[in-house]
Amino acid sequence: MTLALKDISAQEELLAPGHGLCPGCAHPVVVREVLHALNKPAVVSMATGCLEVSTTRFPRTAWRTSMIHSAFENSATTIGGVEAAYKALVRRGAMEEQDIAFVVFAGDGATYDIGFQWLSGALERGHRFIYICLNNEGYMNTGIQRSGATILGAWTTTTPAGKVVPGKTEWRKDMTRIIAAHDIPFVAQTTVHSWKDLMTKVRQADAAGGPTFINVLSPCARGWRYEPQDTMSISRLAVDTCMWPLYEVDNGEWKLNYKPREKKPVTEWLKSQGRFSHLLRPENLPVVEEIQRRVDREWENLLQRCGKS
Amino acid sequence: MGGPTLAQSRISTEPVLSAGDDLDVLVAFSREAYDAHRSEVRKGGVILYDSGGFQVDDDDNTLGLPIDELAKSTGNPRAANMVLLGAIAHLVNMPEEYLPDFVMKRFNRGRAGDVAVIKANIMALSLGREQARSRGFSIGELELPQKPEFEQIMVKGNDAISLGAVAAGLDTFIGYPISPATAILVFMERNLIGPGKFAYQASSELEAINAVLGAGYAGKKAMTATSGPGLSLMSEGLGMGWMMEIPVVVVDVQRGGPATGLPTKTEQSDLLAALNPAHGDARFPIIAPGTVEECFYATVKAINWAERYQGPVIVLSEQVFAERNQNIPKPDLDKLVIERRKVYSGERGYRRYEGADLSPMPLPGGPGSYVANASEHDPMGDTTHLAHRHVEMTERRFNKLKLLEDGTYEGEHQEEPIALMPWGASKGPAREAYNIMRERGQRVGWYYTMYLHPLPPKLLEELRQKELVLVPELNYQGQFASILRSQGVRAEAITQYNGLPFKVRDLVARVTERAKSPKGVMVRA
Repeated sequence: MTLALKDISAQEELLAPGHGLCPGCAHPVVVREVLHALNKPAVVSMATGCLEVSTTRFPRTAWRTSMIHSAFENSATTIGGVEAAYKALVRRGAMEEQDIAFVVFAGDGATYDIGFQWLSGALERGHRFIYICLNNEGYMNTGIQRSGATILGAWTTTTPAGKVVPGKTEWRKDMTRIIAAHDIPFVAQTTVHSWKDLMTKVRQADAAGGPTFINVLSPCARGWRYEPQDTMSISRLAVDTCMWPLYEVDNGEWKLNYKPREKKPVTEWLKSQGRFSHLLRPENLPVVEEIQRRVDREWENLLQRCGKS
Repeated sequence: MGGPTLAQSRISTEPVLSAGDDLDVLVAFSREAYDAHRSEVRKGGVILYDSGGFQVDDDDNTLGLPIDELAKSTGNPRAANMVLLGAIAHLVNMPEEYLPDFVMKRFNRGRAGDVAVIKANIMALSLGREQARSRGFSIGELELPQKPEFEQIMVKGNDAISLGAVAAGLDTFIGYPISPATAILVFMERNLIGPGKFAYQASSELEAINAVLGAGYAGKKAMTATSGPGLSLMSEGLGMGWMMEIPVVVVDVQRGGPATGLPTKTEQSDLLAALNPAHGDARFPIIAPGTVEECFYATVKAINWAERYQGPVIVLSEQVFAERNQNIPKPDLDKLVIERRKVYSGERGYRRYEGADLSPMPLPGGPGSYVANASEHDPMGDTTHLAHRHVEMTERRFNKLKLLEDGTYEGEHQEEPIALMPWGASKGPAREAYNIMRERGQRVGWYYTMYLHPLPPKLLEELRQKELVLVPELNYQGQFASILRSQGVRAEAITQYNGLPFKVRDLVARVTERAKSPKGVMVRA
């Protein structure tokens, strides 16, 4: 399984340029990394979200592959139906067996919140598909609202930061671990800047032959309040602060993919984004400490699960 | 999403009823905007465009301004919008002092740079003014504004809904983001605070409706807000609210449908869905505001209705109101009638669902424990499938709607055999069309109510006497007209389903044409 930029750059782009995603948005980078890693016909199902509204607009549809838009909650189920139909057609001899990937792109709102039950059902039934969660930690398409992926202390329009309440008052769901508990062939967590890690995981998922899930942290310049050119460095910072560790669960086996040489304090991460700026005020120090405590605990638990502690 | 955006303003010394048909002034910041909207400019109108960004074939009615360059010359590159405002002010002969006065008020913020900002902005205004003057453009004079005797507030439709809810004593708001209703959730997260008040964001519309049902059951005034796709997801919960007799309010800010549809366009196509969102025998009370001001009062009334008849009420707003910022008379909070449900305070052993009429509602922690049951039940709330119980309870639930027949309505020239009766946001353009037709001497009457279900009985009686009731509405099926016909009114819809509001001139033409031969109501197959 080799990944050479030279080969990749010669491949056809299945997501065409000219879409309407914001400057600095990580979504199109992730999508292209996924499609290039697959490098074969893909049927894509998309939940309503930033990616969907920005890549499908007449007359500039950006998709050069089959794409089915679902509602907000049901993209996993929709792709499950597509995959089941494909299998039935092949079984009946109405279609030749082909090397096709079934892929879902859905945001964290669609994955962590409204579509959770549907995703869980599709995983349990065992459809063969790759579910990519484009996790930008909030409902950005409707104007920056909190989701189950938004972390403690973050400002969003529905978790406003003021004198009394310092942004979001809850931590976040550990969605990757929840999915891993479904005991499906492949589950992983990655982020946009580590393209090799991401693309390797997509290939592993493709080879796994069952339901697979990759949770991709996808920084959002608008919603996280940073300059568009900083997307990649913020992605890196998420990994180096252990805010977003890179790991995989391959047939039940936990494996850490990257261990920072020096684990940076979460304040580095918080300082990089305007959505946390209120946390830097002295009175919000307890919130910062709580975030650090949570991150430390999750990291230690992860190391243990990966047999690294 | 990176795409064109536009903002539209309409200024009048009279109340603004609609967005208007044509543009007097188009300000185009890009070639795309110029190409897309130039045809909307009326004869004699003017197009201002950014000549620093693109060129047009110089037409008689275009005025190119190198706005960025002009702004830079003031020392403040961000004053580009002021250049344009200055030019527009000249076009309408606005007295010169107005905008500088505004700039001084707006930017006097006690900051170090205030003086420089004000100076640059005023310079930008006069640069724009000079440019427009040098070309000799004018589009006529604005009448001088008259200060009304009443106090006004500037408010958006979604905020008017939120304020109305708060004024009516809303305790709990639980919502889920969806365009174009999200602003209500955001308002509540920021403002529904204090003792006994509570707002949060649910993880889906299913959760939102069931959470407000829980709050309503526990004695709170509870509301959620959504748009079409969310209303669909709430249908099961709404049916439960009807069955269990729990007061809740659901605001549906309609957008184009079905499915994801047109999230940023307007349509009046959720009426049938709002009337019967749930399966089974149920028909929900609906209040549909027709102006930004009515958004406030509709919501107050909806909460009152929910409390009064102990069940779900739907407010049917529209995308055009969501972000429409309008000056409206400031509501007099002292004059608002605020209702609270009848709460049971008697002995134990209460039969909560007893009888053919409304009965006081027990609250958890108080006397009269019962089962709030989504299954068919007996007077205690215990599940039963006995035929006579289902008959009794079904009749009881419908019977309670009679408590909501206090809706008001507008009627003018009620003697006319043909009447125009819009609903919701079509009220504005329809009213303008009506005014034009009356001035021309055309014989047409006017009816309007925001209480779509139940309709005010006296209104229904009057409508049944008409030869023809014309209903302008933004949907394919003529949804409200069909409801009126089912109640014995000779109603016919004037439909439009392009995602845009009616133009006044289209309505005048279509009503005039149809009124020529009023005999026989056409029903779309």
